[in-house]
Amino acid sequence: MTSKDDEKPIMIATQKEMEEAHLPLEWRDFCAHLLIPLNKCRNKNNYLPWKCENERHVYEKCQYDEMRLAEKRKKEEEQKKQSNNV
Amino acid sequence: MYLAIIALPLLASIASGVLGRKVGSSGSHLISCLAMVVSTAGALLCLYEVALAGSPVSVTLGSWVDSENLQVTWGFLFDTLTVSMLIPVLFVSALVHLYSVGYMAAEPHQQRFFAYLSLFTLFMELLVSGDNFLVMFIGWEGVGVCSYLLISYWFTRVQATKSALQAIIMNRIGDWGLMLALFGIFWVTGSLEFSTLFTIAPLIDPGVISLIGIGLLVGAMAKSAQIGLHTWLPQAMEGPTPVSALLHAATMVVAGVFLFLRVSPLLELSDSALLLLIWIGSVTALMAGSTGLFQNDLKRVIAYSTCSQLGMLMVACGLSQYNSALFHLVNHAFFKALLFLSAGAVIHALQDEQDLRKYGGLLSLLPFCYILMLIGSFSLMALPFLTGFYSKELILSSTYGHYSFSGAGAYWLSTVAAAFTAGYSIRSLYLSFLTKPNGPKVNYMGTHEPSLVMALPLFILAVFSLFFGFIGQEAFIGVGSGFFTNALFQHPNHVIEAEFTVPLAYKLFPLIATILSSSLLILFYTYFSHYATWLKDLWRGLYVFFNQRYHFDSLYSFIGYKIIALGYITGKSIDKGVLELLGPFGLSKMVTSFSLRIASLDTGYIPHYAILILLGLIGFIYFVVSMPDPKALILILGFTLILPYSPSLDDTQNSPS
Repeated sequence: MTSKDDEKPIMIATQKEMEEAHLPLEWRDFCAHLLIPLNKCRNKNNYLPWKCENERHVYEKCQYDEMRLAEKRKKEEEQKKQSNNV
Repeated sequence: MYLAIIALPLLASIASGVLGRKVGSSGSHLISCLAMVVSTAGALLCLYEVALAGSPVSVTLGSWVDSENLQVTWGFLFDTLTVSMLIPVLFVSALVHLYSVGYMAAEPHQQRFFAYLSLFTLFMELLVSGDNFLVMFIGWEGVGVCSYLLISYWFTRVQATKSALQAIIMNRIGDWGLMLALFGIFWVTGSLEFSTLFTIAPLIDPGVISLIGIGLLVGAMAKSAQIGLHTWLPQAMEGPTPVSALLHAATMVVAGVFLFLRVSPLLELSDSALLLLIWIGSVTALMAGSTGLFQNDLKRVIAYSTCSQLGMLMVACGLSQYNSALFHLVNHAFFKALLFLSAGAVIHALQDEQDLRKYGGLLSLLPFCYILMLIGSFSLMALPFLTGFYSKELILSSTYGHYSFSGAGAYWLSTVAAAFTAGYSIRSLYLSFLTKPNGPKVNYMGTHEPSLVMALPLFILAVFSLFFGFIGQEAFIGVGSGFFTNALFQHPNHVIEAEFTVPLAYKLFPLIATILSSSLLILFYTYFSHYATWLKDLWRGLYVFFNQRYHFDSLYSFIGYKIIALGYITGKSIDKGVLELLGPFGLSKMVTSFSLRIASLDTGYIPHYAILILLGLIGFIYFVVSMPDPKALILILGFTLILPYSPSLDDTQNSPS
């Protein structure tokens, strides 16, 4: 995920790039542009767990940030709903 | 190469079974072990080509059924799922073949045993590699038949024959469900090909998919020993230990789970079926875990452990975590085969004694077996960084990460089941190796470590039980891993972010429960074991309930007796009663008695004949007089005269042409 102010995630990987990289459908999210090099690296190194550490770390960090952001947005939405109800 | 992997076990089976007398037991060992090792090497090459080089292979041998509405081919699909399954199947099979050379050395019918083992491997390959439901079904039934043959290998033992019958009857119930699902699939899609079904699946009514899913579930429940249809698995331990390791722990019993992995594109569209899987799996895990803790037969304890782990696999499928399920399936195959084969080595060393209460003190006598069982048990308990840890921990976290009532229920049930797993594993180890000797002296007289041919497979499996989880984690469960491409399908809405969303306490709790239950059990057996009898008496009902396996066998025996009694009544009063009386027996009896009555008229007295002629004449006159039209009489008489003189078939044939 890349966002300038950590508020709006930006989709960087294109549909075509994700298709060409055979990304699993469920992982075509805002971090997909980081998964493409990770999966390439994994494939090149026969999925050995001690390889591609940097790519994996960057990708997992992105997933973590996206999850935190989604949580934050959900909380904001709930607060908005509550204030509207009041 | 792909076909050779399938053909080699078939050839080995034919060589051992049909030519057994020619090749002898040594020839049978050599041929079948060699065939399995070559097949395993082929499977490794397949893994490289299909999974790592990303090139799935489809092989069509020819047409099988080619009718107007149904086309079925002898087709094989080697995708990532197939090759991932082939690895444990062939690896464990090759090692079990090798182990059996030593274990069955004293048996007189080794060729038959090896023929069955190789045949089982062939059917298992058909099951995992078929590209349509019918080829898969051949494999499904074939492994069931081989299971029957191998459980009743010692067919002169009544208990072995009874257990084999129970296994095959229980599996028939599952086959009924599976066949209903296959009929449903054919009815809806007009095809039994996986590719056709998965293409059409999103267009099928979800209710119909749920019904098909339930049919598949019944099939899988019997094959994978889920609650209600599980009773055959512990009974199957009557077979030789290598059979228990290969069929009833590592490979055949996971066929039901494999079925769900194969049909994941269909299953993902039915929330009801997924929900059922979660609950059935978690209840099975708990039931089997609690039963295992109270069993005294070493093999039965491990059998209930298998049942419990199969429940966990079902839960993973219900959560749509197919990659975790497959990973745990492969890991489980390795550490459970290790546990069974090590248990076999212990049983072999102790004059075939299986009762844990007659074990003890084996640590100094069998240190190699102790280390192996320790590795297997720790891996099963999912202690950190052993093979079982990587997959089981993820499944448990995923249950909590499902964030639903069912997910939470499954989490707590599975966590308690994990604590039970630790309990019975430690109990078996303690009673076998650590406590003082409790068996008769004669059992300990010839105690020995396994021979080299038995020790080598155990060592290899131990290495896999230690390291495979770590090595395979990135491919199987790495976040976003593209290892499985299209072989497994997960609906984007069913993704579980267990890695980031599940609180640390909930991730650690199953491990804490495992360590706590193990420690408590060790403390109890070390310092408070004299209270065991007192506790047993205090909670006798509870102890009997678990020891007698939740009374499932008694219940089925009661139901079976009632059904057979009803069958006797209906058989006696309907089949052999009313129907027989109105049907063949009654008719034949009536004709015979009527003929006898007619024949009784032939008395040989002229006055009797005269009376009959007179009665006939009176009847004829009455018939003529009562006729409404006299012309009809002329017609009848005309026919009566003509018929005897009509040319018969023989006359026509004999006449000159």
